[in-house]
Amino acid sequence: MEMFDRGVQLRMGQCHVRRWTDEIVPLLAGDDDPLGVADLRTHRVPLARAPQAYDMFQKKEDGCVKVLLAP
Amino acid sequence: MKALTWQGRRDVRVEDVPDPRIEEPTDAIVRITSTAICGSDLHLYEVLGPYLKPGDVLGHEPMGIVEEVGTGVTRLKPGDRVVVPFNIACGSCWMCDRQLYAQCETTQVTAEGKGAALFGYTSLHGSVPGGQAEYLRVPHAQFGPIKVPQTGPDERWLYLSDILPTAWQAVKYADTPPGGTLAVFGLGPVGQFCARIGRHLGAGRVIGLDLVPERLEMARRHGVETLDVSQLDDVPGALIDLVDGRGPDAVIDAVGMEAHGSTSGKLAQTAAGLVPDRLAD
Repeated sequence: MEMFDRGVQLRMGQCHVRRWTDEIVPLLAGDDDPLGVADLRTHRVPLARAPQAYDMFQKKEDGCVKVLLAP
Repeated sequence: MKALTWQGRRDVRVEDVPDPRIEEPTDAIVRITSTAICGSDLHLYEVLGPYLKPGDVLGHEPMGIVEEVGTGVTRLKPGDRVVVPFNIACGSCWMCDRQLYAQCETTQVTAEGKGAALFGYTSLHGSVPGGQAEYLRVPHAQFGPIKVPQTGPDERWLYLSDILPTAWQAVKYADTPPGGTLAVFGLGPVGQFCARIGRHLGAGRVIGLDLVPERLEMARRHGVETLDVSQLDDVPGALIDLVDGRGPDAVIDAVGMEAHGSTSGKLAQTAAGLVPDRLAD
């Protein structure tokens, strides 16, 4: 009722990955990095250390934002 | 090969598991060079345990080098560098024809009433072995994997697997008018990208809300205004005040579903409380 009165619209859903990737790839190809993908990962660890990385990520320890694993 | 396996609540271990092999003509085997931990993997770590069994291989943000392809995969060859989307779609069913790949009718898990199968994400989504492993079997490789150039570090391309398109879709769905204001709740990996993509696609202002100092600082590095919700008694009020007494044109909830850990749990509750509060104003 409140949402109706305020004209609030909700949209949600699982991402349709390939629907968007052709638009995004060109933004990654150059060195200007308009989406800043070089500034997200905070940790890169070997796959063997993944369990510790899960724990750190969950607790947001050590400034953790994004963990990459290297198998 | 080595792979990250689920064993129980907050118990994941790297174990030796059998190497994957081509099982269908449309399969490919990819040697994984980088793979990320997703915020949604933390749901597996905690609340989604009932839908996992010990030994399940997790992970759905992988990329690597094609090792082998089935006879039905003509668009890829060994040596290609690929990013693997987290959802598995055939590319040619009724849903895929409409670009609704997350609802692919070929891979959807009808027994559970769910959409397309996902890598490494419980029996609800097909129990498909995931990509936090040395090798990954990619079903429907005639459609799914994204070929990327051999140049640049993995992290330039890796986020195509999930969080970049997820954030892109959120911004598209939010449909902020040109020059308008977009608010992003939660500045984890998806929230960070939502804020940056919002700016890139033409929002005049993007306001990010979180309570973790490093995450607020990261957002500010990319031209995002921030609100530290831990410093506010009335978050909706502050947000409305910040935008001409009207509030933002569009809002993205990038907090995530679960309360994992104390600080984010508090933020999730704050954000969950925000919508009804604001609506009840």
